[in-house]
Amino acid sequence: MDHQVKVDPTSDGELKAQIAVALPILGVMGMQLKETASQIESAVVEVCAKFQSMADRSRAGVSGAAELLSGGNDSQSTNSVEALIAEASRTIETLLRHTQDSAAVSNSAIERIKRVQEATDHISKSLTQLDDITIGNRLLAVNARIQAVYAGDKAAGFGGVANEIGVQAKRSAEIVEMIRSVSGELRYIANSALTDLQSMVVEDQKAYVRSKVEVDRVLADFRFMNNSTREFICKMQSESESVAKEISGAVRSLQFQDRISQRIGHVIAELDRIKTDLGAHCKDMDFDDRPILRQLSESYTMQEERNVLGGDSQETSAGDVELF
Amino acid sequence: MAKTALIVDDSTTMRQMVAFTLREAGYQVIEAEHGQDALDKICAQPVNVVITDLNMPVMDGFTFIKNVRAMPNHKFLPILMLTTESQLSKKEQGKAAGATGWIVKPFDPEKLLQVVAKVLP
Repeated sequence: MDHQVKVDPTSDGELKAQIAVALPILGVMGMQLKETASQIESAVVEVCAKFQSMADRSRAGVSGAAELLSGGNDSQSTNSVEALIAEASRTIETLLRHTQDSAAVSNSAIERIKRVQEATDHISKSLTQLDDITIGNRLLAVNARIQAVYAGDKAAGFGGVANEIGVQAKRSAEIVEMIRSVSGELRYIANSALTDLQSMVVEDQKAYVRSKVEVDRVLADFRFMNNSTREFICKMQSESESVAKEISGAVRSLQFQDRISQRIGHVIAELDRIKTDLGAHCKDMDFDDRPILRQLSESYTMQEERNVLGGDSQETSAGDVELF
Repeated sequence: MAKTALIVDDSTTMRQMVAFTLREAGYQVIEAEHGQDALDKICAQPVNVVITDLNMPVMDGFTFIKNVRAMPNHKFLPILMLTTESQLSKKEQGKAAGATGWIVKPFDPEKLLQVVAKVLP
C-alpha cells in the first residue's frame, strides 16, 4: 500500500513521519484482532450450545424409549412390555384351561347320558319280559274261561276271575306299551344329546388346539418384536454413547478458541504497547490519518471490517440475497 | 445427590465446555467469570469442587485460591487449576496458594472427569 514504509529514513524527521503513518494502522490492526477473536468466540459458543442440545436430545430420546419399554421409571413396573406379555399369556392360558375344563364337564355329561342309555336298554329288556308275562296271563285267562265253560254253572265264579285276569293282562300290555314309548323317547333324546355333546367336544377340542397355536404364534411374534425393539434401543444407547464420546472429542477440539483468544490478546497487548511507545516519539507531529484510514477501508471486503474504522460506513444491501 | 462444581473462567467457551463435560457426567454446575465472582458464589451456596483458570480480570486464580483457603470451612475444598500455563514456577505458585491439582488446557474431558472424581471427598 502507498502508506507503507518504502525507503530507509535519511533523517529523524522522516523516521518520525514514517512512524506517524504506521501508528493508525497499528490501532486498526488491534481492533481487527479483537473483533476477530470476539467473532470466533461467538461462533464457538454457538457450536458448543448446539453440541449440548444434541447430547441432551439424544439422551432424552434413549431415556424415553427405554422408559416406554420398561413401562415407567421402576424397572419392576407391572406396565413393562414383558409384564404385559406375561399377563396376556397368563390370561390366555386361563381361558384355554377353562375350555379344557368345559370339555371335561362335557365328557362327564356324555358318560352320564351313556348310563341313561344303558338304563333304557335295561328297561327295554324288562318290558320284553313283561310282554311274555302278559301273553302268559292272557293265555291263562283264555284257558280258564274254556275250563269254566266246561265246568258249567258251578264254575261261573271261576269264569269271572278268568275274565278279570284277561282284563288285567290287557291293561298290563297297554302300560308296557306306554312305558316302551316313553323309554323310546328317552333313548331318542339321550342319543341326540350324546351326539350333540360329542360333536361339541370334538369342535371345542379343535378350537382349543387352533386357539393355542394362534395364541402361541401371536405371543411369539410379540416377544420377538419386543426383543427386537429392546435390541434396537440398546443399539441406540450404544450409538448415543459413541455420539457422546465424539461430542467430547469435538469439545476438546473447540478449545482451540481459548488458546487463539489468549494469543490474540497477547498480540493486541504488544500492538498497544508498540503504539504507545512509538506515539510518544511522534507527539509533536501533526499528521492527518484520514487518507490512510480511507485507504484501509477501501481495501477491506466486509462491512464488519469497515465498522472497526468507525463512522465512514458505506451503504450496504438489505439482505444476504439480492436479485437484480 | 449430585455433586456441585464451580467453574471459574473469563472465557465463556471454556466455561461452557467444562460445564458440558461435567453435566454429562451428572454434576451440577455453577459458573463464575472471575475470582471475585467465584468468591461471592462460594459463600452463597455449597460447592464440592472448584475448577479455576489462572489469568482472569478482577481477581486471578491464585488470589482466588488464597481467599478461599482463608475461609475456615473451605480449607479442604478441592480446587483444580485449569490453565494454558504449564511452567513449573507457576505450578509451584499454585501449589503454594493451596491448589489441589493442575490441569493444562486444552483438557481431555475424560481425564478431567477422572481427576475431579479423584479429588472429591
